[in-house]
Amino acid sequence: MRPAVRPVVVTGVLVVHDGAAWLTECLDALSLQSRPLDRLVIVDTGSTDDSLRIAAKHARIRQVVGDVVAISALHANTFGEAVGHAVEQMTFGSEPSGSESSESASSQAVTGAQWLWLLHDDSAAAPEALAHLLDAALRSPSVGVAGPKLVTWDDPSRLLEVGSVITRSGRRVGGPETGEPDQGQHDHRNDVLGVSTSGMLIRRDVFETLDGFDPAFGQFRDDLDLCWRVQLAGHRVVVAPRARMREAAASTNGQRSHGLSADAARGRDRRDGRQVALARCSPYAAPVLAIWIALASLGSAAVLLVAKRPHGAWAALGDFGSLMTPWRPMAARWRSRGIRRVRRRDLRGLFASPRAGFGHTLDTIHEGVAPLGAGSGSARSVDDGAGSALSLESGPASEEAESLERPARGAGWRILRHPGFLAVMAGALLAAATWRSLFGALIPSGAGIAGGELLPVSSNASGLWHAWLDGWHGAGLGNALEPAPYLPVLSAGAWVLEHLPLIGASTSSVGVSIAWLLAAAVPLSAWTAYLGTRVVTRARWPRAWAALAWASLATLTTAVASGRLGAVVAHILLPLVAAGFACAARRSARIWTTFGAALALGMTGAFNPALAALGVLAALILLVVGHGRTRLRAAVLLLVPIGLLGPWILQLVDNPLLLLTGPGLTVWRGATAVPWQLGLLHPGGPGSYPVLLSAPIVLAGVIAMSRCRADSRTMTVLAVLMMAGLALGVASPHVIIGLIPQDLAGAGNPITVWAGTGLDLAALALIAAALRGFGRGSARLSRPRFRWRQILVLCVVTAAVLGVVGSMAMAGWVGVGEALTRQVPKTPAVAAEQAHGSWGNRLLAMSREGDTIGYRLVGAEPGPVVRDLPGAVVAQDPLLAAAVNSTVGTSDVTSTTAARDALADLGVGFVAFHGASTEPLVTQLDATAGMTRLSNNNGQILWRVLPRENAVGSSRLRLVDAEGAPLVSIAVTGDHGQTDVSLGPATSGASSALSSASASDGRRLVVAEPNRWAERARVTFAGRRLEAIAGAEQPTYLLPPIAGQLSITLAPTHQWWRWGQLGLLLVVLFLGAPLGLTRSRRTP
Amino acid sequence: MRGVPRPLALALARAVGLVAVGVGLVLGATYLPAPINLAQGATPTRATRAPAEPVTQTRLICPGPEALGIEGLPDSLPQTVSVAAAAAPVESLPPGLVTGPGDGSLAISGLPSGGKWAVSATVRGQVVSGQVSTARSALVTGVGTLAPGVVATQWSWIPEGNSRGLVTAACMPAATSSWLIAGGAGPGRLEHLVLANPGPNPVTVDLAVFGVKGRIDSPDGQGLTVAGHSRTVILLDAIAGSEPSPVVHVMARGGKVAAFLSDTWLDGIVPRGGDDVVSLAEPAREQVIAGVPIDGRAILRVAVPGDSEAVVESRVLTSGGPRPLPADGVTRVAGRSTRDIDLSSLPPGAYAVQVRADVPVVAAAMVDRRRAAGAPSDLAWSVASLPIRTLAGMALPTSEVKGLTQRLDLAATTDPASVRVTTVGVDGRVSTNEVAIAADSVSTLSLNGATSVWVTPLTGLVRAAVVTSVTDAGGVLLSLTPLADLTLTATPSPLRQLRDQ
Repeated sequence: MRPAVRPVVVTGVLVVHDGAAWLTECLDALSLQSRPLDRLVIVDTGSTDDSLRIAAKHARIRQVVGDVVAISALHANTFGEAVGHAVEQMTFGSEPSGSESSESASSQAVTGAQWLWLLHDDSAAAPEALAHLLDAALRSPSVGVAGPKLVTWDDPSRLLEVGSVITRSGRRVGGPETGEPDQGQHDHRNDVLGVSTSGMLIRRDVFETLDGFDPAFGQFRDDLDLCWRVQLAGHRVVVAPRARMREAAASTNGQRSHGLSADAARGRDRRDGRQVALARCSPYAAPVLAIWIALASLGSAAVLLVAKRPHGAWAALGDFGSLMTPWRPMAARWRSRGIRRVRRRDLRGLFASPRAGFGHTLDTIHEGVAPLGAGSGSARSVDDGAGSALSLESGPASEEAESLERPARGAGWRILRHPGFLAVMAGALLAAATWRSLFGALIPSGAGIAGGELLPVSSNASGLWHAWLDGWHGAGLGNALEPAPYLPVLSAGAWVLEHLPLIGASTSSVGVSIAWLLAAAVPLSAWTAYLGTRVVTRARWPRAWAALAWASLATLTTAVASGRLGAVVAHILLPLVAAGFACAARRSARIWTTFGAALALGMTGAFNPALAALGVLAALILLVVGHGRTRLRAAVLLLVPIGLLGPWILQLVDNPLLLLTGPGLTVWRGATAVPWQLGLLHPGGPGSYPVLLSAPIVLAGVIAMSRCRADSRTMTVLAVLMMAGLALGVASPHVIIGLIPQDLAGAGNPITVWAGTGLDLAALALIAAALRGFGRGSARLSRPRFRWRQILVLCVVTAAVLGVVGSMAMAGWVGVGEALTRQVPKTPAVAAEQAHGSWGNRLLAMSREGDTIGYRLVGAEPGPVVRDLPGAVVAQDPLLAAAVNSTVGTSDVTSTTAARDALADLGVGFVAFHGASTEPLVTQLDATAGMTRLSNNNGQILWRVLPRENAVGSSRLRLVDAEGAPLVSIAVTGDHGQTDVSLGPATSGASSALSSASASDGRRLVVAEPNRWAERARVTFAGRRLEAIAGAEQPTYLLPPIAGQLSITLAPTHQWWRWGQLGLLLVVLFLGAPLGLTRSRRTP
Repeated sequence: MRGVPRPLALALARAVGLVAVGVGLVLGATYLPAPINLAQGATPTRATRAPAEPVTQTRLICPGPEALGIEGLPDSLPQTVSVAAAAAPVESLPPGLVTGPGDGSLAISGLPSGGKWAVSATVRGQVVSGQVSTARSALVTGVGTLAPGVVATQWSWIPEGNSRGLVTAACMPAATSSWLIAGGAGPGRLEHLVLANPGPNPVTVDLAVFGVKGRIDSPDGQGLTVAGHSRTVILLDAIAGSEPSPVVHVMARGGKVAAFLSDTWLDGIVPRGGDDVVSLAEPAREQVIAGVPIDGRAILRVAVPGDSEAVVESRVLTSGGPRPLPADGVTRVAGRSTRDIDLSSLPPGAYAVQVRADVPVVAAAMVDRRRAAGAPSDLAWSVASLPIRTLAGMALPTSEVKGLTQRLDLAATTDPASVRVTTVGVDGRVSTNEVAIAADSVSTLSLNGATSVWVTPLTGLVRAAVVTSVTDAGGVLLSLTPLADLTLTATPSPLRQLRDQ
């Protein structure tokens, strides 16, 4: 008789290891199975809690199953070993006691239909679980393994695993995420690569054929390995979503008393997954896969780090661990040799596509950069550094209440109605109206603007960058003075401009970027003010008012109209700095706000040192009076700006007066506003509008400061700030910080401090106070009591709004004024082109100024961008003076070429004279040997300095023989003679004509720079460092007669400090960028 | 404050306090305007102007044989000219001019280079002379301590033949603009324009020729190139052949040229003489021509360079004071035109001509010496010059010329004037002579036996000219040489390196 009644025997193998917390429930669930187990083997792996007692005393399971055996596998460390031990016992050992021999015989007859149901002690199967599993397993004879849908222990409606989907490199993708609500979204799965060991139903013969779990993979991903081998052996692995099991995943979550921590378990899981892939992939693909894993690990780590997901980055780096023990996958591969029955590519459909893996990474990054608060309350996973609950579609379940917060209308409508957006737009309109007369200057391919405090500059980002970085820099012959710290910021702006798509190249991207910055100052100020006022109030419309009040202040309109770059940048950044300080003083500041404020303060200091000094002072106060984390933040606010400004701080120590100056922060000529106008926040100058229009803001601020409220401390701080700013403002025109030097127009007149810096501070305090005092005006108006107060509030608010509207209207009407003009390149085009060419030709520009002849050397290197306090006159180079003297000296026309040679030695390729063509100097230059007139345009006459007899023209670098006769010009590749070119040996070219004496003496490299240049230059030839010959008129180097590479670089003055600045900037940028969430990403 | 709620009182107090501090700050700034001076360093002082320094190089160009090397024509006749150069003796130098220690030299060379030249002089007052008979100019270079006060004269005396005549020309520094007034219509009358470029670079020259009917435009006069270190001679007749009253404006571009106009006249077979003119004055509303010895035919030529018509008022200055012209004392000259005013009816004597106009004009006078109609004659041009401010002088033709008479004509305008006249004799002896000239009159001084003459102004506005004449059997040969004010010092333009802001 065929044993047809129960052809299938299911043996449960329950591995117990300190699972007392869950075991009772686990056994209860087993006893409630609708299709009861035929046998149950409880394998204990050395539990130290009362698991054994629970297992032994559970009566119901024994009633239901009957054949329950408890065995001990003390030596087994892993689940796999425990199961293996149990199966061994079942096969070769004595039949578990208590089994009936008849049933034993019948079960022997149907060995092929014996199934093992692997069970964890921290899982609880739903009553129908086994029935559904068997249903799925018996549906096809090819099924070797069937697995249930795992849900979380605490909440059965949240998913844990529905089969595992991995990429070919062994990375889990495709979910479900841990804790993902189960809405049946994964129930379509059937064939999967692997299922978890928890609840795995495996045919016993398959298990035995494959020799069970591979010991290489220990506790984690041994399930994947086994299933992969099952697949390779020609069996199917299916998941039965209808079979549900609750799973505590105690090992993975670190809940086992002696197990790994959760983080370590996740790392092991990840690593083992990679190793399984390495062990089971095609042997030929394994090396490629290893390389891919290494690269992907590094790349993901870098990207995740930038996205401020350090945990994820660390986890990604953990993949390297899988490559550290290559013998393990190799051993595993050896052990499983010969089992493969199907081609590997037949399994292709079971893997996630590479695109899915990439999309997964993108999701992770998106989560990192997603706006703050957008995902608040969502559960997040750090597994794989991934898992974005944000990207999931929410179903109609009850917990989707959060989705109700979404507005009924589209995002566009929301933005359009956003007061902040409207304020910025109003600022943009004001800027457009103000700049109506200078639209042409904003053309990207133009030369930008000049005038006011802006000096004509023709440079690009690289030129400005080198003007800051190089140890020898600056216009003309150059100098080694400490460069202004704002240059790299402007350079960055110009760089961005240069790299914008669809924009033509500009001859002066610096000029254009400055023009854009000035033009965008009003909307930018509105934006930063709107952001910054968040620390004062959350009310949006009052914040929009404050933003526009800040953006339409006369301090900004006049600064823009006069090209006071330092004031404009400081005005834009000041709200952010102030908000950062306010945040730092509170208890709940985020890291990025602190570092963002420190960065803004550093940048403000680069443009307006006085404000940075005040900021540092405020940070010091905070450091003293604050406590706990506030002190830490204050230290950041104190040290980061100092570190960012770097060596420039030393300049301040040398000359503290620099604190009061900055780019465009001095007043050279022109009347300042009278004190009462200063009191109304009007510094005077171009771009001013009627002063009284600012009175309502002052009034509102003063009234707000006067009110007695709970936050009177804040008001006191603001009042002190306002008074300090006002005092600074009204005192500034009386502070003489220098006299206009003799060689400039208006010589001897005093140079005073621009009043707007102080007034900006006063305005900041007033607007903040007004916002705080009247920000909830509507709420006050509805109060029933104190009628007089309501009327006052109404009047003040109305006046303040009208004042801002009036200010904007008048500022727009007045416009940007006459001071700024479109910049017209002063250097003739041919000279400018040659200056940037390979010879680095200079232009000697001369002009008659009264009874003197002024001259200036113009090269490709940019000079100062904005007017500042005049520094000490750079010592005149005697060679230059001699060259000019020989050119324009009183001696009459000479037949010699002394003038030409003197000019050529300085790299002067062109001479220009700005003035009347009847000037005697013009005739003299016409008659100078070696010079030929090129053009006479717009009052500028241009001569070219002709090459010498041996056709060696003017150049920055030239080779000369021992007598000093030029042999050949050498091309330059950078500013001030920097180059990197290869030179032939001395025997080639002109040196063959040399006498033997000079040939033995060797050729020399002469640099058309002043002697002090040599102190900063690093000249190497053929790999050897060259030292300048002492006593030469110009930097001269003896070149060996061999061929080699000539390299000239100008090292930065404080090289290590520069590296430090860069490093600090990167760190601060990273920490200060408002990306990622700083709160824990862990699932609660 | 009874009846007012306490918070309100506090608020009022705060408001009053805030406003008071604010108003106090503003008032303080208004009424206490004492500046806080944080400026570093002392009050800057104005840089002093550089003092004038003696020139260290003087370069004068003598035209050379004017008829040789005409562009496009073969040389017809040989021609030799003499050049004499001298540096002012110390006695004549204005007080205060210290040439300083050190060496100096005065030398003549060819332009273009070539020719044989005497050794250079190293002593002031010493005359260096030479002769040129090839188509080149002579370059007189005074350097070092001998550079200030260098003069040179080119002269030629041909007593017989078609070229009979006496020609003297002051050697000139190169200039960008030269007004040359000479020449006329008539058969056999030629005007050679000599352009010499001492500089290394080629110079482009544009000519503007003005005539009685206005400006004569000719493409031939535009864009003439004078190569570096060379000279070019062109015939003005190619541009304005039949113009009876030409005035040439030479404009140099890309350098300077020395320009000379040689006016020679061979009327059939009768030599009518010739003379060279140089440019000594730019257009001005007053022009004074010194050294106009009238004895026979004489004309005054006035040219108006500008577009507007000029009302020209002319008179002559005599030793007895100013006299009106016999005719056309006040006349109109159209813009961009020239006009000749006849002075022939004036009684013989030493004159100067003063021309005033309401717009800038240029002027020169020509005098003729002719014994009888049909006889050979000689003409001489004297051009308007500027008053002597520092020193003027002339190296005189040698006294070896038979029958040579040399006379210095001085003309004072506006006020009485006095000058110190220094002469250097053949033996090197220096003699000085103070001469007083009445206002608006002329005075003459014989120079016979001198190798050079120097005029140092003491008071007033004085112009001077040397009248050189040779009387022989054929008649009187005459040449006039107005003296140019010399540049002894130069104020170097201070050079200043400009800031980059």
